[in-house]
Amino acid sequence: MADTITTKKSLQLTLSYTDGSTGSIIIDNPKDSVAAADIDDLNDCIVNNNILLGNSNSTCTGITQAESIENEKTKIELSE
Amino acid sequence: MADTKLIVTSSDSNNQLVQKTIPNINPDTDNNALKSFGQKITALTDSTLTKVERVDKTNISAAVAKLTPSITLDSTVVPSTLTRSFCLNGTNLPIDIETDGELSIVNNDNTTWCTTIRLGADTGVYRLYIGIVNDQTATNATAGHSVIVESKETDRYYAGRFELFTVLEG
Repeated sequence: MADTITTKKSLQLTLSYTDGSTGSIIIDNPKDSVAAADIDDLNDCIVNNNILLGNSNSTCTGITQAESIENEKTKIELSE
Repeated sequence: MADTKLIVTSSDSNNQLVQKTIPNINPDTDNNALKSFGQKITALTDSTLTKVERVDKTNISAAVAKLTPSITLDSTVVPSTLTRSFCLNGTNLPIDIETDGELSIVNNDNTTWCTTIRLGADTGVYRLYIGIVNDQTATNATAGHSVIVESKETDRYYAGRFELFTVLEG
């Protein structure tokens, strides 16, 4: 059986802006127990303080999606 | 408008430093909010926050940046705000320091402390640090004081980029 190992974990946060564009923040090696409340807390910080700018200085309206991404590597045994 | 980014440095479970750079920061954002933002980003990981820095960068065109033998960094008291505008007439580089602290100037290689920026090339990057841990050769500057940065070159046209590093935590 081929061995599969997780080589990298990341958390991708998708952001929306007032001009309709989107962007993202990718956080490498997130903790296993990221909760929705953690994302909400970050979202409030971004929106309430107008921290991030988009194209043409558009304003970030918030985090619209959070995805945990895992990259896996599987070794394929070659026939001799 | 300054090009502003945030550098969040943390230490992972193996005590390895991890740096995350977040571009497109609104330069008008309050520093405390940026510090909190850095803390919340780090809270999504198992790492321990060690430093949050904001970097404000502005480009100076050669056409307007003819430097006379000295430029003056004028610091005035501006509570709770950090003015990032730079006067581009070639004689004044005004910086408003939001709190008392040390104003230190390092060389282009980011290793040597100095109180003089020597304009040895027509282009270059010079970094102005505020809030760095004290160094015996660093120039202490408190809000309301000015620091004179002497140029050893005269009558030169200079194009470059100034980056203002503000340590918010760490």
